[in-house]
Amino acid sequence: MEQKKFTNLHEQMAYGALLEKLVNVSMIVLFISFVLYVGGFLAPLIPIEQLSTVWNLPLEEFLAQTDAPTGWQWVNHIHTGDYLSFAGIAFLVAITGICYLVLLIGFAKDGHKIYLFITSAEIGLIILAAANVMGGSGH
Amino acid sequence: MTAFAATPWWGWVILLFVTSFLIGIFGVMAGIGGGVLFVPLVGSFAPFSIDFVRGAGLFIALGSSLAAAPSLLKHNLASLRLALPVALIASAFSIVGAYLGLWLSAINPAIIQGLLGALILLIVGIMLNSKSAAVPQVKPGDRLAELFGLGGSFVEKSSNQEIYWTVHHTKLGFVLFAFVGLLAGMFGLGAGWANVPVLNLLMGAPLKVAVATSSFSISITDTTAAWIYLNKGAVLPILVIPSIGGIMVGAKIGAKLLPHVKPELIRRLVIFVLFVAGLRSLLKGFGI
Repeated sequence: MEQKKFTNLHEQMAYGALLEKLVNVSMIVLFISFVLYVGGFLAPLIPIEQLSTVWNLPLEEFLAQTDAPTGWQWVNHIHTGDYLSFAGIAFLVAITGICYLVLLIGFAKDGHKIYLFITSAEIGLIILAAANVMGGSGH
Repeated sequence: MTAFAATPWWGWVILLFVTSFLIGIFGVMAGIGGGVLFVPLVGSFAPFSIDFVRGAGLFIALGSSLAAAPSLLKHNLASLRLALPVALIASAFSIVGAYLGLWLSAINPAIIQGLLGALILLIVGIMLNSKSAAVPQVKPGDRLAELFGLGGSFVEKSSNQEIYWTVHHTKLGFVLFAFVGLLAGMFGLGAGWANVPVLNLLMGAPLKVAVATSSFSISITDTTAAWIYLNKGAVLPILVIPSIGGIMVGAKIGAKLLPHVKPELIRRLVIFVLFVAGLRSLLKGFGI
């Protein structure tokens, strides 16, 4: 039996181009937010001196001692240095989801049923993980 | 750790940047991702809780993977066709792994530290014994591979030839990716050490496609686990951001140095460092 020849998905190039732009933006956001945080330009929610005395604690104990936000509560503290940096990290994590939405549109237009299903399922998983529906902050 | 007790917080920021920078350089030259070196090294020798170190490890793996992916996709080395299904399976299980890891750590952090040590020693074993095939022979007619259209082509620069490829043993490959995703979420590791052998040796993807697709798929797999760590509060920007910055700069320099060094020598050095860090982590798990 002869080996079947598959072509690369043309959505691959669009994905790569969008990814590159978003990663560059996220690196700038991370850098600026971190300078504002450690440079003392924006007061942190948890003072760094205090943080360095509790960063060795297991997570549960750390959360109990610092009253640090969990789930999406960090959004309420975005004006503080540490959680502005946290937002930069959240943006980095959001990049794949954004690229998948663009893929989804491309696959829908091209009628790629299997890849449309895979992409939708992955977006569903990302939303499930991001929405914290299984975790409950408990805090 | 006591030797570091007097280290000010900014000293840790610099140390994390330098450590990740070196991991970036040597990781690229040894052909392994950053997370697998970062988690046991920082988890064993720095004062941070293993929960925050695993969180940072995930972000390092995610950051380096996201940064490398555009070029790999544009050159058709990373395959969207191959990455999408395997990453879907791995990311579903990485969610389970993330919860399992945080649950075990809440019971006793030593459990996760010990298991991490054992896993790192297993990875050392895999790395010592791993073989690869540039373009493996693939038996045609794999039904799942045909259903998903798992294949593609890339131009081999050394011969300027277009290489067409597909895969086989897809069912078993998918099962193994579930296991790989579980471990990635549980320990904050990038899992390239497992992805590449599965894609290349088992499924028969050409080595270049296997390496590139593995790197790209980590950006998808680790995304779901990273959201869990973010939501649980297991992410400290002061640990994550200098580490991401260090590894990205280091990886770029490593890639430039690559043609001028002996990769085998670097690989052995990295395996040795990994062995020491894994052993230390295992002993720490037993309270030694």
